[in-house]
Amino acid sequence: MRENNYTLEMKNIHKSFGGIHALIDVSLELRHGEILGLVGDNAAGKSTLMKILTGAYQANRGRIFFEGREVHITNPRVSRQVGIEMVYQDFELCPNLNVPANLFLGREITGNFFKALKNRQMENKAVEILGRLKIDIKNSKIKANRLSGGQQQALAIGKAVSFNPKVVIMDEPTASLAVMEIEKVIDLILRFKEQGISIILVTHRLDDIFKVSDRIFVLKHGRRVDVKETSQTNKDEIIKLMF
Amino acid sequence: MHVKKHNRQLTLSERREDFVKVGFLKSLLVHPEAGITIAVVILLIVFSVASPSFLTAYNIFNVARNVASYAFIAIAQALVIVGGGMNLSVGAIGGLAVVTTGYFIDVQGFSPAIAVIIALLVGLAAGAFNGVIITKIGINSFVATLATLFVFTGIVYGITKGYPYINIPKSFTIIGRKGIWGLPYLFWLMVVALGFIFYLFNFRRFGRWLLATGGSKEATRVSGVNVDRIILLSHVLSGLFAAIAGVLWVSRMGSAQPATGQDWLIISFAIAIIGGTALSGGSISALGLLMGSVIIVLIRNGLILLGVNIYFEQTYLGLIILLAVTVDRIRAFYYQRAGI
Repeated sequence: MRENNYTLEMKNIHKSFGGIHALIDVSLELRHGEILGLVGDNAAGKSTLMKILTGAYQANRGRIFFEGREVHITNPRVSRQVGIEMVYQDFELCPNLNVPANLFLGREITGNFFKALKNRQMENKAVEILGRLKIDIKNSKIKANRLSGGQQQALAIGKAVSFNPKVVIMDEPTASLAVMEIEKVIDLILRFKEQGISIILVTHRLDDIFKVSDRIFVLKHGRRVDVKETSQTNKDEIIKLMF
Repeated sequence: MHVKKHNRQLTLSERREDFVKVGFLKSLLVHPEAGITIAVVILLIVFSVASPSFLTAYNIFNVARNVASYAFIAIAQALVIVGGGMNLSVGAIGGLAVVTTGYFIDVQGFSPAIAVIIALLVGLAAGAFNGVIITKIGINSFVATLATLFVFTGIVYGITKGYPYINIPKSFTIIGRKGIWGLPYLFWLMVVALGFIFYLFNFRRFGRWLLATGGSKEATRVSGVNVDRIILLSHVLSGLFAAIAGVLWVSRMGSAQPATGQDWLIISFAIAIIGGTALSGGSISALGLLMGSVIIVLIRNGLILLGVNIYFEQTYLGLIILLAVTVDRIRAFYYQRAGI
């Protein structure tokens, strides 16, 4: 057991694809209930680092500690079990499934009777979750491809946070949204922080980062450049670190 | 760029409002079962009026039997289409099952029950073989099952040398030829099978995950679902249903013909597509599969009753499939715009 100062710790992570070193000796610490902004130029290694957390990739070297305990995240299922959820840039919803089916995908509620799906119960819970998160979707039986971009993003976020995760990774959650929708998503993010969820926010939009984050983590060419307290830095400094 | 995207969303919802007003006719395009059910009713009326022998008990029995045979083939295809794949070897697996049944009854003298079990296992294995090639080696389902179509067909002809097995006991043909309550046993078996499909996709995790895989493989994978396993299983099930269709075919024909299954491929696609199993994956409907089977059989049956030159049958079938695919395209187009 290690000292339990952080919700999540990645230590000396290396990842290469063939001869290309995507991540070189990267260590990342995420405190309890903080919002950590993760920034970097294209190909800085942000996605790779996050995909190692979600189990989509495995690091070549390095260790991951979750609440002080070492974890081996070998696939997305393990990541979820540990308590890490990810919200993807392109929402990652199933367009052909309705709202409850998307919310509960991969962890459907089943009954005692031959483990049949409890669709009614999932519908009710979905309505409850949407209500609790103040997500504006009136008809929960609607299929995901009928929702607006903002609604889809809200649903994707709802899917990630509705099962009491400890850590939520958000990859460009506002990238494809209109201005009004961005505000809503930012509100949503701040509400999760109040609930004690630690959040890693990956985004190009420094405005958003400065609005919500506690610290900013800068990656460049696969290396950790610096970590700054948001209150003690400014955009210019971060941009200088990034490029 | 982001602003553009937002505009698109707005226009979509505006169009959706337009659509709701347009209503009935176009909603048929959105709800495939509604449209196709009406088409079936119209066909029934046309054929009843045009041919006095259409509504006879004999013809109804015959039509119902054909519908059932086709429905099993269509289920075998739909099970993999729904996950975003296809199975070009449905007919070949059916042929394997037919020949296996015939071989073990006729040559080995096994009891039909044992022969049937072996045939179903062969179907399962063939489906699993497809599934393993697709998921473990990573070959797309079109190429993989195109190859196994030849592999399996070759096995069928290698074993039989083209000759049918004809020593099938009369008792074995009861299921394929007799019936109860005015309809063939095959028809009731189909009802059970379609009920199973309905249950599978509405009340089982596997069905939900297979639908999800057809909708977005990536979203399903990151939701913690083992997508490869789901696809593999869908091919196993597809093989099983193709084998069931084959076994029932033997029961119906009273012999095991090696050529069985050669025309299944096109029929399976036609029915699945007409029945609302979108080619792109992610949707399936038990009612649609039933109605799709009825339509194909009615058209084949009706053409014969109407005395049309039946040597053109393949042409008619091809045209029907083109029509179905076109309707599918139109439906997808409106579905994209509509909000139902």
